[in-house]
Amino acid sequence: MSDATRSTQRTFIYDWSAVSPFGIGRAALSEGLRARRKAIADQCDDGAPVGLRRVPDFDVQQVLGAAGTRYLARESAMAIAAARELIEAPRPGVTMAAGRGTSMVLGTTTGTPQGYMDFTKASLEGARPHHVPAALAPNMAMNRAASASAIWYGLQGPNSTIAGGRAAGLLALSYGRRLLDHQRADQVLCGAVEENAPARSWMEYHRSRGQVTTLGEGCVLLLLEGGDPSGRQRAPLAEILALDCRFDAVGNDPVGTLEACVEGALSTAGATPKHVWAAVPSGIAGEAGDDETKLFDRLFGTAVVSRVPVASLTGDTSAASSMFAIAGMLSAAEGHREAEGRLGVVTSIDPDGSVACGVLRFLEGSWTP
Amino acid sequence: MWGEVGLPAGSAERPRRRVVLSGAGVLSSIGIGVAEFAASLRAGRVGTGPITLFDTTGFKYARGHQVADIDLRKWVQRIQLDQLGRASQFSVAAARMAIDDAGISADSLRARKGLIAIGTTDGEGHDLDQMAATMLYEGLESVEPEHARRVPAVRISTAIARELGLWNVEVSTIPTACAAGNYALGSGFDAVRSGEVDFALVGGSDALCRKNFAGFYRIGLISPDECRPFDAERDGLLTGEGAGVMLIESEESALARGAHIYAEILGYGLNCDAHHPVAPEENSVARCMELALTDANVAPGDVDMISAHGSGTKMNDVTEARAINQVYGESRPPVIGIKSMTGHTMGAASALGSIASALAIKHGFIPPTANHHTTDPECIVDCVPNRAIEADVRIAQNNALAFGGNNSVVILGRYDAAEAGDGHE
Repeated sequence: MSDATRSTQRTFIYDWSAVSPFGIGRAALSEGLRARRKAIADQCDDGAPVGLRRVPDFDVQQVLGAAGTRYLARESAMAIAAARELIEAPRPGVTMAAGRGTSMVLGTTTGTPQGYMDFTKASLEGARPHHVPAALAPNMAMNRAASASAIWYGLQGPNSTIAGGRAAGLLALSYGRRLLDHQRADQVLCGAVEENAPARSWMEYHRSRGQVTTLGEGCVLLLLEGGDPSGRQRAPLAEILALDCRFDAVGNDPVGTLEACVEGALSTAGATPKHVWAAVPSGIAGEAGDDETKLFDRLFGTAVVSRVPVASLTGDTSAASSMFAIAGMLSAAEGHREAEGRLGVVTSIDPDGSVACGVLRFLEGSWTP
Repeated sequence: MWGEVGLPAGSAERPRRRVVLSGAGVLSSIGIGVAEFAASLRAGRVGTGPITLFDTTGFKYARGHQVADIDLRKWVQRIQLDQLGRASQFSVAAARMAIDDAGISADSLRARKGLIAIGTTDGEGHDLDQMAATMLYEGLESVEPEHARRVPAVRISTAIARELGLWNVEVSTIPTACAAGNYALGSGFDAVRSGEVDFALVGGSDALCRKNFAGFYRIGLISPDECRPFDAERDGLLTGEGAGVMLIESEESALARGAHIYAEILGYGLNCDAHHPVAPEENSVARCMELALTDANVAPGDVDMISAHGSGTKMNDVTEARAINQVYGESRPPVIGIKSMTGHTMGAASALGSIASALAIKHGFIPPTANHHTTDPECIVDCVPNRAIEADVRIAQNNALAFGGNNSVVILGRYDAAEAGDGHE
């Protein structure tokens, strides 16, 4: 018997957007991945000894305008910019309606640890301990990126933030699908965000026990809808067939746990590895990542595994990593008619023990112009 | 207005299981464990004291709700305490209490598919504070690796899976600020209701931290002495800490093992004001209550008690009271603010509110709003001042409002086997 969670209704991806180390927008990410170009890596002065691939020229006020953005944190601005593309520049034929039926679900690791630590630092070094910047108080909540996006675009449906470390993207997808299944939303902007900053670089450096070499940042959002896709003006890009989220309770066998997880997800999807057109591993650094690559090569073959390189080009985007993987697969399937009806597999491994696998099927919408 | 909620009320073809609350664990300033918590709620006990967890020198006042210094190793048995931040210690201890209270073993849970979702505002904010001090005085490179590894917000939930040895679980933390506990309960409720999982461990956890206190203090929301929800003289909230974790499962599962059932989870509502970063919006809060009542298939006149968000700030209480009156009108039941007793425990607050609601249903009383002198004429509510009342509570509503306009309302009802059947129609 499969342990993967079964969805009682079908869930489709109609559109996606990205803010990535290749720039703002779907096209920038697609072009960068297609060219197999590594985004530019810098180091920051007080950061860990890792390369940082940042979203180029991402000045909050330049990207979003001067009004109401002065105190917006980088992660919030990236989320708003990603939402902007889905809402203001969707794929032709896709319609997004703001309002009560529209939900936003956003994965994160820990919001903006740099922002929180800077706030505490102001309390510690100010003349009085409450001399903290009041205008930044709203940024102190980890739901700020999602709720700021909701305010920006009038998204009045469920507005949920899901913290899941490197599995946050697939956990957010599971949560978002559940909202649709239970009729709590008509449309879900579902994705994940991660910002590069010195505090995060040290946190990820220590979490990976010094193994991570390059960190990326950005935000990816998918537009999810349930219901029957026939008769829509635009065919969906993909259908989410299975999501399987587990925990490595023993603590020393994440890839063994992941293998069971992948088997469970494929079984729920009614599929075998031979149906898989693209498979993107979690990209976790270190031994677990090496073992995961071996598992993927064994299960799917190198051609399928190498079809969509993501983490090696964007850097490790932690909470957003599985969302970047899905965006990468959707982008790769574009213009590839042979992908239609075949499957994409994405996995996550988090150093704290969460593992997850998602299986999606590429649909007609992924290759039609 | 009633019934107009913008979304279909639910699909007829979906087989929906009834979901019951069969175990609870609590850490709070007014009690450790569900029995002590219940007794304190009934007694109207107030847990305010001086904050000692961080250095409060320089603040004019710094009272709050701290969890007593107790040995948590009784409940955190497998993980070394120093591997966990304070909020994770609380969540793990409360989860262990919840399964003990439910009379189910970790071994038995291990054989089932489950979901763990714990809500939080600050996650391990106390650890982040200490890292900020290191950053200031020594530089970030001096941060202890083990310290940094404790910080990711998901740790307050994964620590539960690790402690209980659960592998077949979907584990996430829901950091939707001060409404997070209800978000987590809602997520588990949906997963159990549809049969996606067999059980869920859900709730909220937060520890006091400087960042949070300084922020609320700076924007003028901290009371110098006590939290007085709905009182004319109320002057703010008191930050608190603690955890509330609930074991929820299907009715069949609970009955099959002869479990003691506190209450049934009837439904919930979620929405977003999409209006203001910190100020709640009346109409949107009202709509969230309507969504919850519709989801639970309950009419306002059937609700016997509302556990309000009731943070004791000028703005929250008047907005919330107006929203309640908008939905309930003449049929408004007693509206209580337990934050007068527990403080505002942030992500744990609505989990503790849901547990308090379940206890009110189970034990037949309505907890009071403590520290109450004169009800604000702008807050038209019966807030059960200072003394609990005996009452037949069949259905209770638990409100939660958060920064970012993240609202969440849960409806709980008395579990009545005689009503067993296909839903509540």
